[in-house]
Amino acid sequence: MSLRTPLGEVLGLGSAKDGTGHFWGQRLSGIGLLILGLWFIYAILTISGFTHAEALTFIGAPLNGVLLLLLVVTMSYHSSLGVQVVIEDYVHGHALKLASLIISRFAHTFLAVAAIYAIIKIGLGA
Amino acid sequence: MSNNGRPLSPHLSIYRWPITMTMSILHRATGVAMSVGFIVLAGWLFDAAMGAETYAAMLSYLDTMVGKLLLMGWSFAFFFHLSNGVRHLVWDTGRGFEKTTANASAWFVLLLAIVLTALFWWASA
Repeated sequence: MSLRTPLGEVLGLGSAKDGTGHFWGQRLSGIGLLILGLWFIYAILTISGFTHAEALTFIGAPLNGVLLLLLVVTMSYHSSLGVQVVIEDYVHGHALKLASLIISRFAHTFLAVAAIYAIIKIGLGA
Repeated sequence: MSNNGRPLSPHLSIYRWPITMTMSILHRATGVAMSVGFIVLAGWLFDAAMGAETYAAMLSYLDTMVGKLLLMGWSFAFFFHLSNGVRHLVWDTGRGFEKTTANASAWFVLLLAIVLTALFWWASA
């Protein structure tokens, strides 16, 4: 007779209470960044220049805007997962570890939202 | 924990430093470096939205010797993390773990990252 609850058996996560979600998230966002990152390198090499006007023209082009949005969202997610593992490995002491993990999440979310706001603002010419 | 003179398992310092260890450390280091670089990327986009003056100030920081060195570092970090990331994806399929294969792919990825970084700066010059 199993002492595990029906819900626990369905979730199949065991005592670690965590599955392969982190692993899959890291790999899929990595593959996404492989494509988006190479596009960004191509974009840097083909941009006419880095003056303010040229930056606005580049960021404001619809396809560039969409790809930049995908880039910063995917990058924030991938970076958040990576820094999380680094903190879990090297920061000892429960309180400091938890605080570091929360600060990292907040910082990544803040940067992503700031970048999203900027791209949309420029794209809409507001 | 008493040792009682028992032999200890050989630890890190006793082995010859393998290239695969360098790659593992570099993968993590370049990842963390780019997490810091994400601040600059988000800052570049945000300052562009803020206006011409803020943007010019941001650009003047990047246009210093330190700024250029950081940008070169981040470009190497990008090409290294990307190439070694593909190496990790191949490992995820269960292939490439033999010692000779892992060593060969390590050197290949390291050289590829250096060549791609050099090509990038050559092309952007």
